[in-house]
Amino acid sequence: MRKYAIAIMLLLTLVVPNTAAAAISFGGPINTIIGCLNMVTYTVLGPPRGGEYLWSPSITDTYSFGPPTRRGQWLLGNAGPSYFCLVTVLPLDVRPGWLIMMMGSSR
Amino acid sequence: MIKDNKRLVFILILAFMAVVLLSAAILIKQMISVTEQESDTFSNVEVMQTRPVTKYNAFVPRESDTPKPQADSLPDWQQTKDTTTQVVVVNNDEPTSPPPTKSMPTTITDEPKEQSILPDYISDLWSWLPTKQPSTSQEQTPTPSKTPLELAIYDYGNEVGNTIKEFTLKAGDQPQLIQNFVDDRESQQTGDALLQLGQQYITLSESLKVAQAPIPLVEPVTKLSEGYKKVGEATIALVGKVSDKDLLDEIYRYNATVDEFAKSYIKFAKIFKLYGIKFNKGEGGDIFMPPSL
Repeated sequence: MRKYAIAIMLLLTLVVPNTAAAAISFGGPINTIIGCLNMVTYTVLGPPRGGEYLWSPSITDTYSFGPPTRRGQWLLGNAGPSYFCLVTVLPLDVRPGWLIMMMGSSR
Repeated sequence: MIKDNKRLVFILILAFMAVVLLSAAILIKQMISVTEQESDTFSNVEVMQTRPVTKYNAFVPRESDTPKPQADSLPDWQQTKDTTTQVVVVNNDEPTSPPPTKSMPTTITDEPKEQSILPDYISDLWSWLPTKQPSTSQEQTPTPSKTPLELAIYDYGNEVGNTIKEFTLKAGDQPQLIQNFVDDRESQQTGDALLQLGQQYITLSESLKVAQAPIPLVEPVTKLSEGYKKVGEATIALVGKVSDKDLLDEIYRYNATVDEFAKSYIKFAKIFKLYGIKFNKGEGGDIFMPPSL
């Protein structure tokens, strides 16, 4: 019985399209947050649509409730091409991530 | 025994699901056919309502086409004396002059007030009207909510959005590709991956159909397309920068290029807001919409 149930679940998983694959839209809680030398903020988001995202004060179109500030805060928005966060220059430590184009956040 | 019972229950559940699915399919089929009928009826009415009065005249046959009624063939009611108008000549060898052409109703709400004296195929015009009249709310809805320009902007936004989404899916995890290169700059494999990514950006810039853009989007999409090309070139330029200093200088240039691109992107996205166009989640253009929390 359990085998049948698992088989049906697998079949449904294959049939239902994986919409999370569209990486340009993101949303999830902040697991890691780093302030970069070049004034951008580097965040690593958890699921459902996580990854490395960079918030820029001069570029990102930011809606309520402001920029990323702390771990656990949720971010939601759209991102564009990759961007570099400069963590240190000597030695060179850079963190690439998606540049956030527009986003909103939780309180 | 218990195992057999479980199997029986499972088979029953499967059969029940099959029946439910079958019923749903039949119901959907019926709904589709009803919708099609309604849409046909509705489209007929829309055409009739929007058709100018002059078009109705097209249904009136030319005089040469109109069969001139012979006295013998006149129906009884026409052979009787009319008390208000001239007497109709009866049993005259000369064919009677055709009856005055009745003016066609100007709107579909006009009812024929008297029996038609027109040939049958003209009188039957009334039968051409759809028998199933739409509801009042349907009569008021034919005007689309978007103007043609707004519709063109909406369609183009979806097209551009889909193109960008396709590229994003194809290009894969870009930050990871770049991180791999930064970690191992002398590797042929990581360099090639970046070259390929840069080339994909250039291809994306070419695939944005700038020439088909509606007028308000021509300049923004041109800048967007140029921006993607520059991002591609900047990505390619990272390859071969092995030393920290060279790579850092190239990263500054790369970031400046992406900054410029991002401004173009946001400007492009704001055009939709300016025209009050919204994209639903899942549509191509939803990547130009601000997040809705």
